[in-house]
Amino acid sequence: MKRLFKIFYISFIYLFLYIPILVLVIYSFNNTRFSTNWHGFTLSWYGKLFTNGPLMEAFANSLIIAISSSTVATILGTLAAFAFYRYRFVGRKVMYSFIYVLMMSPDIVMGISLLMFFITLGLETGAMTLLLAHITFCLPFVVVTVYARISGFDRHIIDVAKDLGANELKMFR
Amino acid sequence: MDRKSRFRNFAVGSTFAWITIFVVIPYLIVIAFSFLTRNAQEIVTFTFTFTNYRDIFSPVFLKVCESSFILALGTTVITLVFAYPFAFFLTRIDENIRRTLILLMIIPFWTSSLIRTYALIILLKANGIVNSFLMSLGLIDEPLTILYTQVAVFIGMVYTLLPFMILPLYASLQKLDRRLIEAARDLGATSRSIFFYVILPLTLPGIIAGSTMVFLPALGLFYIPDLLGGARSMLIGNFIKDQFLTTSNWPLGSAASVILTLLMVLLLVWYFISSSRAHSDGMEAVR
Repeated sequence: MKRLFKIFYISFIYLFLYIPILVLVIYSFNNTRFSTNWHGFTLSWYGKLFTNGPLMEAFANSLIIAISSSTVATILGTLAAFAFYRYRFVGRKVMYSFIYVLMMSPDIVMGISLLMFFITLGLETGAMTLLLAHITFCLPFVVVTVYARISGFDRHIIDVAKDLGANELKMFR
Repeated sequence: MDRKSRFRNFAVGSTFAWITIFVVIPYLIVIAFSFLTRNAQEIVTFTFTFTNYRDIFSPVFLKVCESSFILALGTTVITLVFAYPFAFFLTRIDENIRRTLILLMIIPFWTSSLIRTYALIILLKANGIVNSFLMSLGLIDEPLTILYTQVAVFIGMVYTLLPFMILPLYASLQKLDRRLIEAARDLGATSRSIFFYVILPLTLPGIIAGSTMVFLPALGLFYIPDLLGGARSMLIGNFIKDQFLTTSNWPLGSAASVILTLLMVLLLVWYFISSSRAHSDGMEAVR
């Protein structure tokens, strides 16, 4: 009885999480343009998708931004996490709390502060500013994850590496 | 300069530079704007004023704050009630299945939450799937009005934020020492008192972490209430967005952003204090 309830409850939560996504997938085969009711199966939307120039271009843009911003954010974030972990410097705590505030602050506040920053600088908003904003947006997630990882591993490893003659850059690697 | 300090300076320097340029300075600009005067032609004039903060504490904005708070608090409570038993059951499942289940919970987050919110519209609308299903079961005779009500907003918020509650709860429930429960039972405690005097205090850090992870984003989310609530009740997020994009009152929007950020910093500080205290209290409760 208890076990049954457990299974029932877990399935209920997963249904709740997955039904909307499933509906979305099913409706992509829906043979109608505006209505949200079911009108039969079609693959035509996928055909239209791949022949729609602007949409594919938008897709390519998203992909480029995603790949480049996540790459830069990962490198920069790992470097930052390492700096926070390994070194004691003035303003370390303040900077680390900024990372938290950045992570928890609503997207709208962050987006608007960056928009105002770019406008104040007189920068044309475009792919470049979007990229910079995305990197900043992703940065705290990298820092917090990597920091949690490296504080998980043994400080002795670093000492050993030092004893074996590794310099800071090698240790980082 | 030797290589060691060169690398150190590089790592620390780049961190400092990025955070200063893209976080500190933009926030300072927002703070500066919140003290400037609105000017319809050129966005702002550089006259120092407190007007924006006076305007912010008007009944209209306080109402906005109130509804945001109620929504965020309600979402937190509902997710907590649903997530706690779920996380608890999860800890009692075979290790291998559990891994898959946790992965399955994270996967939906790889799709855009905006798209998932649209999917909820299809589900909840008057002739949508939920209503058709309930009607075919004969539970209701005519479609329920769910979409564009507060209920739909809550469903959307809970749907989006549930895993943020489950994961911290799961982490703290997993760390719970089962021997403590057994010991309590051996000493004659009922299931109820075991829950309230042993399990609950020990998992308080998880509860606080999860609640913070849900409450803070819930305060700022604006597109879910917009799409599912039909923009009936104004929330802080919508308010800020409107000041910048619709009414172009940047100083007022900045002042609202400052207030919201301050609120969040206060909540974060409270979180750090109470989570360290909850941790020692939890230990205390066991002793």
